[in-house]
Amino acid sequence: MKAFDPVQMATPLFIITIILEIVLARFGKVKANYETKDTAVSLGMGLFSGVAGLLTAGVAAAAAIWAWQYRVFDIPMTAIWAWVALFLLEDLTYYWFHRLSHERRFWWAAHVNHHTSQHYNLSTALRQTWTGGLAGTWALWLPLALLGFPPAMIAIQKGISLVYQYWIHTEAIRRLPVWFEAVFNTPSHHRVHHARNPRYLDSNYAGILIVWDRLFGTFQPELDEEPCRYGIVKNLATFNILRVAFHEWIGMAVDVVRHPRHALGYVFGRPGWSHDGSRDTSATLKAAWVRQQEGNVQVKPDAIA
Amino acid sequence: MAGVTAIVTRGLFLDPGECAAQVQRKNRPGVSALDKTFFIQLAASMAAVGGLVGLAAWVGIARPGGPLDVERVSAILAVEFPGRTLDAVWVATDGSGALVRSGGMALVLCPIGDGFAARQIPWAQAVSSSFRNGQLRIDLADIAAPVATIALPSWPPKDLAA
Repeated sequence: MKAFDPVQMATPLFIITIILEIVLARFGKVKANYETKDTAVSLGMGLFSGVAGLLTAGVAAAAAIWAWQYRVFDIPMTAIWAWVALFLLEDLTYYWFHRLSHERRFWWAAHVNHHTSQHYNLSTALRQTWTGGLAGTWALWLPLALLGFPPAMIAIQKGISLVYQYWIHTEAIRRLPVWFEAVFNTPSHHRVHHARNPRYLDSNYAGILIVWDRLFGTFQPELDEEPCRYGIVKNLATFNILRVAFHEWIGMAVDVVRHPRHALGYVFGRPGWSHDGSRDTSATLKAAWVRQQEGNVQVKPDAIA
Repeated sequence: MAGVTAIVTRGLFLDPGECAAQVQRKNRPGVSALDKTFFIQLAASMAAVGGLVGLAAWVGIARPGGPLDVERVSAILAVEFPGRTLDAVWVATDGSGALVRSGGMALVLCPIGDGFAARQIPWAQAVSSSFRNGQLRIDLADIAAPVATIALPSWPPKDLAA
């Protein structure tokens, strides 16, 4: 029996569209920048994320099957209503997974590498985690299996969501029709998500439907007066792929060893949290930005971020 | 276990492609899960990655940059460390990095690809960095930005070393 895997099916599309984006950018037809080493890291991360995923795929699959055995309802894979319901519930699950991955350091450590590129192009979409399985975020999808959605159905919908999110990693598309921008996650919305400008931090967590951000208060439109600057708050100064993959885990471990009494804060606090307040979180960066806009600049002169 | 196997073979697995393939392989004696097909796919993927990276390098569509100067360093640091005063600026002789004194701190601008990464360290730490053969090597003590190397005519500056 041949399984249906949207990501595997879309792989040739990934390659063709990256070639297309590069060639069109070369001839000035679309906006896109590709830096060689940055591209190599993005694609290398993508390549080996699949290999790394194999290490935990068995555990995640077994957990989903186990949960499904205790399902509340028998939901048929063949019913259209079931797919519509799963589309909405999976996308809602993705929103909270993604929000958790940004707002708590343990899961940020697994997700941060996706944001480490200072570029925003289709190759950035493939800069995927190596440690997501170990971080256990797959557990967030178990309630769907408990509810009665067959694990294969959930896996297919997760794949569809991942493929959808591929094409929005581009500067080649400026804005889409208003109705589309209102409902769906788009290149414009996701550019904001990848931006490190203080006003754009921690926003637009959507997978497919941007309505979740509008609903939960994390929506931020892209503003013409503030172009996105991509990357993370403290950009990486290395293209070493191992440092890209593991730097936040190592940083977290170092903090825990140095400050064992504050271990919980360093592991489960917000990224940038510190016991003495010497570092910046998204909240402090946003607050400083607001003060700056109000013309009341207050700077921590000697703080070591 | 038989029940689980039945469920899996009906296609109810989390990662459809790999799990189905692995279950099928495990049911055949003498065939490893990581068999030839896997390595062929991996090799093909690596070749595709190599091709795409080569194309990106050949086409040359990185961001236009050029060497740093004081004005550009100031502009970048105004974004990285808003509101900070720049007491003194040293731009690398090759224009590929900079070191700035800001009060008791040193702001370091490291080139990375066609962009930059910025860090701050205590000024005393910057002053005591090793300087050999026209290269200032600053230990940033950061796993994500381990070392900054900046080409300078001399170091440390006599009038600001204190």
